[in-house]
Amino acid sequence: MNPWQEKALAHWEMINRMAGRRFGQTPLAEEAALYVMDGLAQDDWSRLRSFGGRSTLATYVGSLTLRLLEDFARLRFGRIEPPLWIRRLGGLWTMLFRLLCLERYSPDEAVAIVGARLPGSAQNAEAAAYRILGELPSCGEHRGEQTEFDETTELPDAEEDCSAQEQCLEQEERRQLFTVLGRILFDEQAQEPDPRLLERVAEAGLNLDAKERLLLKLCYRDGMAVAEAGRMLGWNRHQVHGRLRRLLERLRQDLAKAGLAEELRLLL
Amino acid sequence: MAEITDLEQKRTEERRLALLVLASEQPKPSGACLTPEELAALVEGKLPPTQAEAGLAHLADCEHCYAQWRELDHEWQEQAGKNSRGALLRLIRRPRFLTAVGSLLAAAASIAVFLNITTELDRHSLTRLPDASVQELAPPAPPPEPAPAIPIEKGIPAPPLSPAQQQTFTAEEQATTPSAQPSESSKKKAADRRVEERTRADLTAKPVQPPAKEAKRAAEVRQLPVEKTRQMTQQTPASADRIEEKKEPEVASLPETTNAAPAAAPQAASRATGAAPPPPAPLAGATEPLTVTGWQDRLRAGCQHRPAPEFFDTLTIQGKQLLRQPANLQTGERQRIERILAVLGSQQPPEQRCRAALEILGPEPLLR
Repeated sequence: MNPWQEKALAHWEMINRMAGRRFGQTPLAEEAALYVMDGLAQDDWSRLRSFGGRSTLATYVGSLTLRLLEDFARLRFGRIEPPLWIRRLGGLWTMLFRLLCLERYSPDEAVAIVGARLPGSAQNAEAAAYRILGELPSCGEHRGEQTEFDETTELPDAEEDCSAQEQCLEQEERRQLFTVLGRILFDEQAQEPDPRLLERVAEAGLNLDAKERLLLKLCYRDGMAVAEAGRMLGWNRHQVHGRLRRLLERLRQDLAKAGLAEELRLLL
Repeated sequence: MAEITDLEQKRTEERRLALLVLASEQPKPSGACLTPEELAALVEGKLPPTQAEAGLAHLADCEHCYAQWRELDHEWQEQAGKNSRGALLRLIRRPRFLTAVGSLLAAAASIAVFLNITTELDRHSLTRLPDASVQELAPPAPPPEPAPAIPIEKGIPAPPLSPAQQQTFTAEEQATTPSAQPSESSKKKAADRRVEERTRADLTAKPVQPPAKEAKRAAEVRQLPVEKTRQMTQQTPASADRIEEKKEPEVASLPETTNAAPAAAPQAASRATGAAPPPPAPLAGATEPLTVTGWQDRLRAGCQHRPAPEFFDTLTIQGKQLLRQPANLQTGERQRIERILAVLGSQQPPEQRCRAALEILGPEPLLR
């Protein structure tokens, strides 16, 4: 037996587990696992042969498996681009959108899959799933199609000052983004925030570096514990708590400098 | 509760602020996506710092790679957990490890045995407790009647009888009453023999006593009931009470016999005369149940004056009676009583014994 084949088979359990996590415990997961093995065996195990030893082989095989599983999903379900507000929110929102609107899982199944793939996200995932279904009534109807705009999307008025159709679309998309974002972030019963205010926040020029953005995503968007997020970013628990506190303080100060202190106080 | 609500509100505010800031940014992925090996090395923390920074910068802007990074990290954490458990199992299965663990267990067992033996020796040398056979041989006492004829001085109540003793006595009574009354001489012999057996059993339970003293005491014990029964046979049952009161110090001076031995002497005498057992001694406090607090109070009260030697003997008997009731004792109390008993049984002058016992007893509590 080919030594690379032996190594791949030694990781069969992990491949199977990752496929089950990606697609749930369904026949589809078994099919996906076989697809991964085929992908690894392609070109005489060329993917495994290119392993340079910078990590353990198991992690490398895991990384390859994730890529191949995504390829399988795209082959099976096609591509779909989520709406801007979902792309902006990213993370579990994008994942849920794919599961609900493309792969057509039920909300419970989708939440369970997200919980298995991104531990700690289950609590946020449930609310997010129903929010997506609420905001996109046609979710899952147009399988394989672009669902960025649905029938509720309003086309820009001809009277508006749009130099080009593309610019008008972009503006409309941004308006929709801030409208939906306002509903998601703030209480629905409360008065809907002014989209222009949110746009002003976007224009405040908050310069976040990569690690700061990742920290906010991990902690507040995906619901991960602060210490765990710190471990992933290479900080210990004291460092990450200190950095997060200073970052939030700096954001408040920057927004206050942009003249949004009072509006934010009312909103937050 | 208000603090928890404040904390939750603060977290909600922080989350809203963070999501607002994240949504307001329009990041564009910087550079190409990470290769599978780069991603694996980043998850394991094996990328050089510069490459790791670049990789994280890409992850911050590329949701696709970000999702894979999180999933791979989750998988790697699971693998690491399994590997650590596997390493532990491999370590346990090593012969050298098993040898070391076996040696340690053997050493621990040896220490435990040594400590147990030492503790047992200490206990024997401190308290000279009677063993279980002596307890079984304890003389019977009438169950419904209050504790009879314990030599009580200065209001010291008699120790209550154990249920085993009561049962023994009842059985003995039932065995003797329906049949014809045996002769006086045979009764006397039986009583003497019983006391002798008790004394012998008691002596075996006291290994630290000097042999000469023990022999002397045993001889006293053997002679005492005989003299007493002889005197009692000349008295009427009514006058036996008076004799008993007069002879109380003598009976109380029965040293180191079982606690029920004093009670057995008048009963034996009454049986010898063929009369009904005498009524209990009408002394104050004689019917009170023996408690640790009461016993300690008696010790304190008795040591306020110059105590007689019989006082120590009575306290010793009652202390041993207390020790036979483990349910009523805490560990600290038991040890304290054992130490006091050791002091009371020592050969020191009465004042020194009192002082040492009171030191062990400690100051009298203000509130009871």
